Amino acid sequence: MISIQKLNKAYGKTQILFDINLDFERGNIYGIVGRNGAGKTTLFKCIAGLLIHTGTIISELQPLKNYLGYLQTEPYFFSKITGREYLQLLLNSRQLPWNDLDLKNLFDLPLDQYASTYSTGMKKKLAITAILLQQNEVFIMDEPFNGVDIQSNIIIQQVLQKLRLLNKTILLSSHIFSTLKDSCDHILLLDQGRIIKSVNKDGFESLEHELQDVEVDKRVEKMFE
Amino acid sequence: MFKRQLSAFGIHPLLGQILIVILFIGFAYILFNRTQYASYLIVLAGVYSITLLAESKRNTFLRSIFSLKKYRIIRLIENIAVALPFGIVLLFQGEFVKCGLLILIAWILSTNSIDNKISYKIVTPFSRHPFEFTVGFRNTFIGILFAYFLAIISIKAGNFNLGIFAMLLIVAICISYYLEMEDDFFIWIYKGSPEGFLKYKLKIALGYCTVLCIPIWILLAIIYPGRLMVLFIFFLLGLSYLIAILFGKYAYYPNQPSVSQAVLVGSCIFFPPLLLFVIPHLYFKSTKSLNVLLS
Repeated sequence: MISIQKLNKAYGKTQILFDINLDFERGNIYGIVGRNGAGKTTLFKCIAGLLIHTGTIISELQPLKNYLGYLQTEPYFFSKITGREYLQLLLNSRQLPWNDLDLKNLFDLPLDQYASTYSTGMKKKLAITAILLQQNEVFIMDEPFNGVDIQSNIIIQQVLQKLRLLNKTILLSSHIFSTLKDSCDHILLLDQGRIIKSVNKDGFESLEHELQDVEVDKRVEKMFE
Repeated sequence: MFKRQLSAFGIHPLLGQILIVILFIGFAYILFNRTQYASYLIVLAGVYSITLLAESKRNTFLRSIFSLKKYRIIRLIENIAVALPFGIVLLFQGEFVKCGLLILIAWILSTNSIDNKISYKIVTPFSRHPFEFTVGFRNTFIGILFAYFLAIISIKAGNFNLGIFAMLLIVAICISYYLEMEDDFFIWIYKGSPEGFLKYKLKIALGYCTVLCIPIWILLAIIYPGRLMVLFIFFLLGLSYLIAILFGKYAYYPNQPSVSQAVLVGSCIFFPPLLLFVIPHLYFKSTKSLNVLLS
């Protein structure tokens, strides 16, 4: 279990996250939704330990980062590194062997091609493969479905269910609510740095309606006035 | 953007530009006094500088916002501007053909982009432990071949010093692999303490750099067996600079080193014994800086 208490994060004088209190149980998938700039990525980075913050994050896994696979929104790849070498890099960092990479090439990626030549979706798939190979206990996936084709989307959904069965803890964000609805056990709504709603499966429908009720029409009209 | 980079480095843009001009002239002067191949090195440095502007993504962007005619003029002006200092040095040395060649290359490259997305893979002996040497070797293999070529020339010309220069060139190329800061993610992923992280990086840097130097080492050791100690001292010195740069990279993480910090490391070039103090200092600073991500 991961317990977050009074997590606050500010960039200079700009406060991004306000008093976040959350508990994440093993064998559960948590979705985080919110507008662009709501603080989702910052929250993920704070949990991962990539950003300094105030408040506490308690976990039975110590240090948490050594058991955590973090999928970035836009994974970074060095210009002349192949897909295979990227996987090796992430496995080396955990002192894990990398003998059977071709067998575990979940998305049939061209592993001997430079990763920087991959499309957006392929890059994401490579990064997902890497964190799965790392045998993590906790997964943070920032927009895992972004730019990924339908077949791979289905594979990712299946992977998430498998991870849940394996008693892993999964946190993910997505702007595609339907994918969250299908995969998550709980969805949290983050708005301007605050968790304003936390719902389980029963409340998904009403949360979806709530999110759709945002008055966007007037904004579009104003743009073309 | 260049001015901003100088400011970020903590140096006034005007002062920075004057310093760069002085350093460039000084470097060219030393080069022409030390080696007969200076003009080739100047052409090579000029071509390399021009290729930095030939990056495909950058030029696709320029092409999308300017007409074809304007785009070609901009690219030509850019390339000539970059080639000019090198061209002036060559003209000053009476190397008219090489100067003409450089300008010709500048013109050719202004009409073409170098696509980073080349699909063929350059084979590297360093793929087991990405990323510095894996990426670095692929980016600089021509420079490494050139260093080996210089080593062969040194044997033919009976010039031991040129051989030492070739070996130090390899070390300098290896040092260049550690000049750019990686994304914090690639530090964060490491399972272990800051000390373990640095030890791992050090093992790779020293091991792989030695592998690249071995051919020159063997060549010089066979031809000049009596000067093995000199060779060894220079090799150790080169590795010491590599260690200093590696620790220096992480010592001020996530910031780039400031001028005073760069001066500290730079002063070791003129007074190598300083390395005995600088290396431990940078090591302890690195462990402190990395603690944020690796604790």
